[in-house]
Amino acid sequence: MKFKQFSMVSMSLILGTTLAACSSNSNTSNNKALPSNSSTADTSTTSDASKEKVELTFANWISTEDATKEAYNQLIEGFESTHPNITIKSLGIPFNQYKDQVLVSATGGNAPDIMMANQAFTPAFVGASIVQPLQSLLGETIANDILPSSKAGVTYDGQLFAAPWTPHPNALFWNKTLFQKAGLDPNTPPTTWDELLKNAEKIAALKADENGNPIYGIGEATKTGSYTGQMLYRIGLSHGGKFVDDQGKLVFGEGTALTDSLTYLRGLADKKLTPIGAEIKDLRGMFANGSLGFLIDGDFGRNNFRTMSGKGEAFDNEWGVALVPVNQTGRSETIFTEHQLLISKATTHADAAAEFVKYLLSKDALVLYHKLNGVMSSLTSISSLPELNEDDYAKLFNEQMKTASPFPTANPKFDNAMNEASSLTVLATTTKDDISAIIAKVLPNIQALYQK
Amino acid sequence: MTIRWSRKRKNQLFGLILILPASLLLSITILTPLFRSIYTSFLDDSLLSALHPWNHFANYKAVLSSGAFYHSLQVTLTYVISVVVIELLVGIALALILHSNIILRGFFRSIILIPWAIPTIVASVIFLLIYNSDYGVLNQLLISSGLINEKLNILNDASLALIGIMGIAVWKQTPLMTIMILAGLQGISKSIYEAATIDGAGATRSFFHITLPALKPVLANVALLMTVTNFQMFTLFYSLTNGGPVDATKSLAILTYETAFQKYDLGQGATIGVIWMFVLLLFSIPLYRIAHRPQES
Repeated sequence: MKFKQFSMVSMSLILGTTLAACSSNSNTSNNKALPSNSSTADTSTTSDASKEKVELTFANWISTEDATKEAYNQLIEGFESTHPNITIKSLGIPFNQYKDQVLVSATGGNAPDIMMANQAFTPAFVGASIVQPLQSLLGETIANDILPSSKAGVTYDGQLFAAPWTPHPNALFWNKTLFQKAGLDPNTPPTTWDELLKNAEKIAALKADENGNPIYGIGEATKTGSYTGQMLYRIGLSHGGKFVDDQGKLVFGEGTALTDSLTYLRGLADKKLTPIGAEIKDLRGMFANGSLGFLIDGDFGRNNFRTMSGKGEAFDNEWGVALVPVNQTGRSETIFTEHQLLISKATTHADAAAEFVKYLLSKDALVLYHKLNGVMSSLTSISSLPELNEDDYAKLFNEQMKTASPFPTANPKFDNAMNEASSLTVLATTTKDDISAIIAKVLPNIQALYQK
Repeated sequence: MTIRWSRKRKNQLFGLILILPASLLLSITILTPLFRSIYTSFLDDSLLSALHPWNHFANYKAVLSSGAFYHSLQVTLTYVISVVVIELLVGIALALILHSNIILRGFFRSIILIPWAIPTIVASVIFLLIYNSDYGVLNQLLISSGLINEKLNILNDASLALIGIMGIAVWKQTPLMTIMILAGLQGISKSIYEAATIDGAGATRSFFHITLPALKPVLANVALLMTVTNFQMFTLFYSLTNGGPVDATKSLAILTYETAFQKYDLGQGATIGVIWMFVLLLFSIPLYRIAHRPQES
């Protein structure tokens, strides 16, 4: 009877334990990578890029986002029209679940042939051995054309594992309408950190718009999550800080940069200059709705704001973009994120996959993508083309790229470390705890990640 | 040689054949992942490594010696116990009201189920708006009624976030609790109350000596159901706070997900899941026994 009772209760409960194992396909000693099941052609692939009918799966998030969906469709159309034997099957995964889903499907034997990534995802994909080196597949010409700062971020043990595609340096967007209302010159953005703060205070002093919606001076991400950690890293750069040294040793917390950065964030919170608990999508919405004086964001901002404001290109008159103001280091410190392209280790059509990657890196594709979404190129020869520097907006981001730093992502735990680092921001902006106590509480968790 | 089977044996065989498909389906969909999970908990199974050797009890040692596990266990227990107790109290109160002769009783009995019918993820989005510190209606109501002076940032305040999530769980799950208790109330014979009234018992004595004892199996069953549901709650935590701010709402469900799919350690993720199952059994078995204890005459 007891066994019966135990069994009945157990049966109703055991679903809870299956979460962690539901996608695991591990063996105790075997490599998990299996051939992709997405290809419809024969497996003899020596010249599949030019002869056979091939279907390639392309894991990406740009096909799932309104702002980039159209560009994605046109890029695929452009490739398929010039490569009639290759069909691209989109595996669109929302950004928030992207890394986990690609890792789980690839290690479970269903790797996409080609996958998008960014600087935070690529180390995990390389670490999981689900992608292959690209130098020989792409050729020396492309490999040597990659911007040095981009190339450093995708080179592991001397091998190129990802093709940097579109870098996204973060620059300062400012709202001209709020500038005017606050009595500031709408055409003169701040050039120093002090000016930025003074302007932000004047804008926040407006308090609310005519509909009662609150107005904030500047939008900084303050919600738990790796993006918030990344923005803390960006703020730290302008205070002279680093996350790791040249040997990859963790130096986050050394010196005064982290304390200064958190003091800056606490100041924003105390003076109500920034909304608390906001993540980047909230901040973008607020900027597009005219509730934020400043927002530091990537070059895709223009398209996002046009869409989110509901005003289209007319909204361009209401904001400007400038280099991130100079702080303690004497230069415009910011970060750049980057969309990258990788080829699965398990693909049976590496040549065809390389053809697709080459197309996406090409002038034709980049000019098209730039026209639609204002993106830039990680290739030196293409980023300097007049077509990619046709207006002040594009020129500004190309200029900002010169002082933008990549994330130090060589350690696959970097993304987790940024997630932990976000606790520093959250505690600094939501509690009155001493800044040094906050650092002492959170930093060991980050150090523990890098010790494993 | 022919086998002559008795009618009883034939019936037993027929019954076995009938339950075989369902048993097989259950084995594949429930038992296989369960055993797979237990097996994985003994492996050094990281998505960042191609090799996944057997590592004995290393995962259990690591999990049980980490502060993160005990913190998540505490968050989970606080959440589950608080939510189930509040739901039981509110559920009983609402069921008594709906059992009495109020006007529009049928209407209220119908609309009370609306929160329960709303998908959890939709409820999360609704409450993200209600709780919003700048635009949320809750802050407007609290300020205009004079209860607070400063707006609350409920989901981003480490001391309020868990309470905020509990509020949504109570709002969403209490209707089911109420309806089940109401069904239990309707099963109690009126003659017992009449006899008690003749013996001089008031409403309070009747409630504690007739209603509650009669409802005990129902209450134990709904408490068991809600305990299991809330122990497994993932959607609310993930969609509202993702375990933040600063781990204040990092339940075992979030810790398991984070360990397995964000830190890529499937071995430790599975270990947390297995320990979690045993904690759940510890809570559930007594409730099950109460629910299925033979009724006193």
